[in-house]
Amino acid sequence: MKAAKGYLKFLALIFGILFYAAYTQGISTSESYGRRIFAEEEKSADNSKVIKFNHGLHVNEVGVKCEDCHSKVVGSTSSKQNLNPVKKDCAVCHDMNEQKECGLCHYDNKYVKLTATVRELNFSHKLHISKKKCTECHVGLDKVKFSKEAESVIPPMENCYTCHNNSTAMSECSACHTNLTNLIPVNHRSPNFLNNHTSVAGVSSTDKNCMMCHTDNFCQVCHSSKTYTGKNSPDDFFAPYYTKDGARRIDRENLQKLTTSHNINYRYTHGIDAGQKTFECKTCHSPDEFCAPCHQNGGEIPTGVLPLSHTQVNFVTLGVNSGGGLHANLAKKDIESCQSCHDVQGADPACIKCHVDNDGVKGTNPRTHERGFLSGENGDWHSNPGSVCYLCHTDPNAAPSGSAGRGFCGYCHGGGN
Amino acid sequence: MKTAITLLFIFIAFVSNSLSQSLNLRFNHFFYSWERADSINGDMKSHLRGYQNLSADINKNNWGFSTWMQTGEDFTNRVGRGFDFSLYNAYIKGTNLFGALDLKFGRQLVFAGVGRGSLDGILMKLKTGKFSEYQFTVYGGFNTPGNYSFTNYGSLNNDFLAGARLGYYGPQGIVAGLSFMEKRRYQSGYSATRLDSAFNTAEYRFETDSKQLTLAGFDFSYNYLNKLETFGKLYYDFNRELIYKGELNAAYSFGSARISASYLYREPLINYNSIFWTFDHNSYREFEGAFSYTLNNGYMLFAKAANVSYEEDNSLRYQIGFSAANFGLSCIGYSGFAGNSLGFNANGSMQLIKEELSASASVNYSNYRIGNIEQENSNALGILAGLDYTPDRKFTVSLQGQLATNKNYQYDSRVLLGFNYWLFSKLN
Repeated sequence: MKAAKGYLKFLALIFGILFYAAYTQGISTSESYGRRIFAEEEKSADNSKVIKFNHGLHVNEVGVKCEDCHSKVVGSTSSKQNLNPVKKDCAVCHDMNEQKECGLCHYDNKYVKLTATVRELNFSHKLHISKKKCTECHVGLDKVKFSKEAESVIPPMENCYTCHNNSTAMSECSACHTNLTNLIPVNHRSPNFLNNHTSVAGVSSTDKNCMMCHTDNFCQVCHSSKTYTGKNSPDDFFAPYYTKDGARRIDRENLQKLTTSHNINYRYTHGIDAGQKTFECKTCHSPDEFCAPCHQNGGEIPTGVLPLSHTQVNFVTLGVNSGGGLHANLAKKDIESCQSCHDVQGADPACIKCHVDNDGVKGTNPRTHERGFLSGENGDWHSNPGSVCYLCHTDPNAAPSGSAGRGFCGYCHGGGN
Repeated sequence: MKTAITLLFIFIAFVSNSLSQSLNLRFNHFFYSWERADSINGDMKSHLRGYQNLSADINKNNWGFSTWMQTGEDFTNRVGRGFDFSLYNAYIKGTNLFGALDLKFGRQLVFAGVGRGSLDGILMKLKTGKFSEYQFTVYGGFNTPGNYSFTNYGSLNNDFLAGARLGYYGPQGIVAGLSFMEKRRYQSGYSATRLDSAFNTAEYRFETDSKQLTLAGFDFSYNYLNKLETFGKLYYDFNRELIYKGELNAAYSFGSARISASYLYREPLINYNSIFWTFDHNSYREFEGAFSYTLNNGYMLFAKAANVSYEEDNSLRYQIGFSAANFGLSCIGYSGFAGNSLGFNANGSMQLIKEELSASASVNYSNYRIGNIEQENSNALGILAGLDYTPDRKFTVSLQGQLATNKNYQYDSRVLLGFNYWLFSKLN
């Protein structure tokens, strides 16, 4: 209890410090948060309080071209450059010696250099303007006063994907982004994103929004678990290493990680998630192939993995109306848990040691099915000798060619049982 | 296997040099060592293994070839694996052929509504409508072997994955799809000793059918101006003749806040050629609610809680925390049938030298017990810390240390050193 209180105090302290930091960090007044993909967009420069200006007026009424004022754009190969006009650019048209005219553009006594947004990007205007018009990317900038009022002063990243699709141009994150440590989109940080990501992708893996950052490999890193064919004992254990680089996954602590989607201790605690049904494990893992090599052989850990429930005195109870004990109760609640260890391809499932029907007589073997199980169904056991029914029902008449009224067939077809 | 790798490299080299328009290649080489001592007698073991990853995309006009593969080899103390090769995918792709058809041929991962899995076969997607809003996908082929080799295939009629999906991607934020999937995988027959009808032991031979899953599904999602988001699923299992999964999710955003709720009903998903679906069992139901609030500076505060109901029992899980673009902290708790746990996760990353050196670190701690029978809690602590040095954007050196301690191992320490090379080239 003392340790728990200390732990809670520690957590409270950390949360307190971080929440304080969150509230006291600079608050921006720019566009609403919902429109932004990355937090870094918050740093957009705003010169509307520095100078009086109207892009629309200059472009549409005076006939000025973008590069007439933004003269450095033509040769710019780096996003670090400030491409805003300087005095000499304005002086091409405006008479700088006429002091009465200063107030036309400048606020009282405010003569400062225009600032530019700092973006952590590799970007060459020189390369792009040879292929596109300025307003194809800076949509609506020719219709407003200040850039912040434009429909899209910086194009949404989906637009980049039109060319940066690994065919026309490269689409690796590091091709454009110089800082890979803060590229988690806002919506990816919502608390239930992992459960909901299929809907974000429009129930499709080909959504452009996803594909501009993630290749097919990315999905596969999590969704393709590799089956281990060894013993997975302490002397022969499975320690895969998948690099996230191959999948272009760049999220923080997962940048380099031992396993694909789970933390380094997950193999010891995954039973809680499996029992919780937090995720449908079978989405990625086939129980009969993936789970059994560990669970059947001790799971690579020195203490073995026999669940504590299996050591309880009432785990299996025998006799009519005993109910089968704890194991039957657990199986009713979570049959997937039983399956994860006992469903072994090409071997006899442990359950069949008891749950057999060797004589075709009702009531002489442990109860297996719920009341009325498959009653009246025309199932595959009528035609298929490989039906799973015949793993347990082994009396001589138990076969698709069996005779009505006898043994297994007699349960439904006129038998005395 | 080494012959297959050699042939694949020759193919990539030939195609990229003679036929392609662009080549995107990423190659990583990692040295990965670990040393650990078990908790019973302190036996210590150390090991060093090397991994290589290659991903490549080669494209020309509407055609391309993609692959991702991994090889591994022990350097010291061979632990039974030795050389290992995994071909995760390798497929030829045609995109927007005749303005309407996407095609993939080879090893690939399929996501098509209820259909999913790794496939060694073909997938075609036909797109039609003014905005390509109607899309029909059909796929089929062998199941990819679990170890990603080219062996262990069965006959096609007993070892395949096939299915289709008809999707509508409406311009008004509506997406809906109907899908079907059939999966068969052959299981080796086996012999076992059983009692015969006279209660004498006898040897029996069992050969089970390959029929695993036959599922149909309906998916939908609707997004209204990024304020209201809903999605749902309804999947049906033909073999067991029951609804195997029903799910409904809704989220509403107002200002910087977002509230969401979801309901899930699910039957255990068990292969038809496994006896486990015949045992008396019950379904699961889950209700989850979540709330998040994003501050103006981008920090997101969140909380969520979920209750999972089983037959006459339940489990609860909850999480509270916050995340920013490059760091986060959350506290995660579980209680009830599945087990009890209280833990936290903290992670962060930052640039130490602009555009050259970045660091990442995370700490995971959990005080837990699995199931509702264990009485004593155990502790598990995992720490990762690493550096990435990028002298050129095409080349990165990664170094990471990992430390885990838990009830099974006094310590388990790992060191990773990696070299990553990336190349994009316009060839013709």
